[in-house]
Amino acid sequence: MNLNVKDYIYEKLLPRVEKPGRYIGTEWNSVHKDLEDIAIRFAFCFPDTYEVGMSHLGMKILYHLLNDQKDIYCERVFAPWTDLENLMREENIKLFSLESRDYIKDFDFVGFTLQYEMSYTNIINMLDLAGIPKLTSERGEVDTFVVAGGPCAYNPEPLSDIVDFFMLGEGEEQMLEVMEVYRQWKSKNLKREEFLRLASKIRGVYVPSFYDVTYNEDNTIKSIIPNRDGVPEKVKKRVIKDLNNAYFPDKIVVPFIDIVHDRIMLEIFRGCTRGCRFCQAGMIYRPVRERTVEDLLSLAEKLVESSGYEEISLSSLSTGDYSKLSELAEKLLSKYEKDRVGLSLPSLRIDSFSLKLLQEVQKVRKTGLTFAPEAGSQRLRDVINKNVTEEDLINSVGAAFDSGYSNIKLYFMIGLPTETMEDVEGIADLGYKVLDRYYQVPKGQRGKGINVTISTSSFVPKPFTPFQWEPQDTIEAMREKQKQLQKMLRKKGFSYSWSDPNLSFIEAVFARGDRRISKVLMRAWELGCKFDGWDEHFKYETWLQAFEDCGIDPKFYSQRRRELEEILPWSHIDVGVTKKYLKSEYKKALKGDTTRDCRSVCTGCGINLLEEGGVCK
Amino acid sequence: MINIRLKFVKGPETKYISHLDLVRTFQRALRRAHVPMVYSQGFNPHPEMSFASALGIGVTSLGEYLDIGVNENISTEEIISRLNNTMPAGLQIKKAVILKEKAKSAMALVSHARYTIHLCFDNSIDTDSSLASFLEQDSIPAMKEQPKKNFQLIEIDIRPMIKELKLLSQEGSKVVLDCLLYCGSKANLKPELLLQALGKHMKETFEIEKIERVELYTDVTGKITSLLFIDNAG
Repeated sequence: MNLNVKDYIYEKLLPRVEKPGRYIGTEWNSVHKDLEDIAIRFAFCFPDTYEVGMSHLGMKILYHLLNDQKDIYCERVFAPWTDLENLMREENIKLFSLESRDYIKDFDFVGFTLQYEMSYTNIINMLDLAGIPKLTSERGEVDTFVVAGGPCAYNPEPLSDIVDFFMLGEGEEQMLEVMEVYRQWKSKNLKREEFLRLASKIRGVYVPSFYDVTYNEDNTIKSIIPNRDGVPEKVKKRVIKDLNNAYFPDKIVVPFIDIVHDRIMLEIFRGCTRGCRFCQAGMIYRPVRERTVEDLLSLAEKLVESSGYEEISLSSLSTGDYSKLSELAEKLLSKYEKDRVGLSLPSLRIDSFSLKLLQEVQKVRKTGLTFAPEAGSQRLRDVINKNVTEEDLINSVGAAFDSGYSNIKLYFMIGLPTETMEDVEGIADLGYKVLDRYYQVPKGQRGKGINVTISTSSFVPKPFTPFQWEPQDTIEAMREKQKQLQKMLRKKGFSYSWSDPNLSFIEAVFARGDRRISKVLMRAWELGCKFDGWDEHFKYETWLQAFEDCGIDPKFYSQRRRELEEILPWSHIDVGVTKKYLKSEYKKALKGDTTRDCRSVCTGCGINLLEEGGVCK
Repeated sequence: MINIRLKFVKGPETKYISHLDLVRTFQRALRRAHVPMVYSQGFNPHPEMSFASALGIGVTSLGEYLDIGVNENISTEEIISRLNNTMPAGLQIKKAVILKEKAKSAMALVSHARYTIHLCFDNSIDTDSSLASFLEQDSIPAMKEQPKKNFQLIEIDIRPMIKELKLLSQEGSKVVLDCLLYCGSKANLKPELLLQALGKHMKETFEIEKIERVELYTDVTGKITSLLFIDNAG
């Protein structure tokens, strides 16, 4: 059979992989365009598997946003699983897009979304598979532009050798502005660098090569300054002022295969006002902007109609905080009851937990309930500003047990600033109190098969949080705490799960790393690291080898306490929340003082000054 | 509840999706098409639908069947046109018939499947005589995987499950076969297993270029009959 490459991939390679359904590309609502009318080809790359990437809301929005432009063809690319990768390397097949199966090295843009640090090696691996020069310094006039955005882009420095430019903040407006600059640049036949220069004038665009970083003798940063005229000293993130008028697609791709979040994600608001001090999302996605109930109902109608999905999930950082949650939920439930479209409410907080609402939502099935007290003692919860009390938790789980629930999940973090073993033991104590509350329900009335799942993740200090100056726990300390909990939670009714401290350690390095660790990433990839977020692929020893080969001490990044006045690798990035605010929150944290939810009174985080006229309601 | 039997094509675009994926894809397409589905009772209501037979991954089909239950009168033409507007590329409804009350399900009826198989042999071969000697055997052993037993292999005799097997065309080493195999709950032979046994018998190696299921049938007192003609109310 004489096949062209596209057919060869489809007919000859896919039958040999475990899940060929990942690479089909003709799902319902996927966009296929005639190349004749196309001026810009954009490869939207998610550096993880199809199942993970397709569950991501941002990708769904930007995919259709770009494709709604007549002359732009945006296609999806995911990290091929190792079985397909091996076949591609054996047969010299380059990384291709799902829709057209064209090689992405020939596209105008290759854009990566950065959702978590441990996907970075996959970016290098995908560039390598694509046949695109991996380093920005190696790319020439004919090469594609490699761009990245997403939450991890707020500390872009560890990827600065690899990514040509970053887009910071919300992409709905910024993306189209960059595309417009590209159209003009392309029509004038200008040099590659000229495009980057023009793009850097768009607010939110950061070109790492336009900045020089110098270092002090103690390896801290001395300065970060633009190395040419016309480049902003500080790059401000982009925000959409009015979410109701922001772009949201009225159709979404409906995958054939089962993905992680296989439902309509209805974004009810952006941002969070709670101010939990460990939470990066709570800081970087500010300000809070809600969509109106009317807007959401109309969006839901279009999405149900165009997708055929049987479930709508109300998506946000803290769903219980939506000001008209009951109204919205009731209207959606009554509207879709006869069509059997269900509703799910993720990210409900304990204090805003409304059992009545949940029961309404889960009329038939009583699945598990999840709570996130995050810390085991009131003292530590005050430190992290998680304004939830033991009483709140016991009341909530009590109400749940009273109405027949018997499956509760509790999420905690270990290694939080100021934590002692007493706080850690508080996690187990809280677990026992939850269990006791279950046994208080008379035997005939309570749900059967009590299961309290306690999960602890290890705290990773993140940029743009009040804890950005804090050291991470040592691996030994994390293990000791996990062991203590394992010991204390050996009882019928509990299951305890914990995260790998080695992984959290590496994650902490890249979360707060600077430019110099770009080469560690490259080295780790050379040594075979990829899919680091997947247990079966994470190679801790190899990572240590990579650091050693580059002469870099990972502890400098993960376990060092920073001075408050130190120039941090991301100090030239402006997310709106000011350093002054973060400092004051940090100091309050160490004293155990809480800060109230800023929905009631402004707490002065600075986000309101990011845009002229303010953005908070 | 009104039962409707749909005949559909599963083309190259959807040949890699599993049976479970296909079920979900149909549920969503039916919802997009506003087909008034009947829902099952119980804890987790789902739309009443059942497929005649699961198709292997990588196999296309010109004749797949699905029974659905609807709760309103809706014409078969209407269902076909609405569904074909909401189907992803690679799935197409060809026919629809309204079934009599208490009709047997397609799944219970199906007994045979016809396949067209495209092979490319490494050497040129005498297919006719190979097929003849293959079929002359009283029994044809083959090793079958048992999905429910950790994919352990078990030896079975596939000869009784081959109803027909003949050469459709040949050009050098390229061979197209046509076969009618048992398919369904009583006896089921997948074409891949047939090919495994055939290759062993011929002592030849080949690449499978394409397997296409052409049609599914039911056995009506020894007569192979279309699933559309059984219990047809119209």
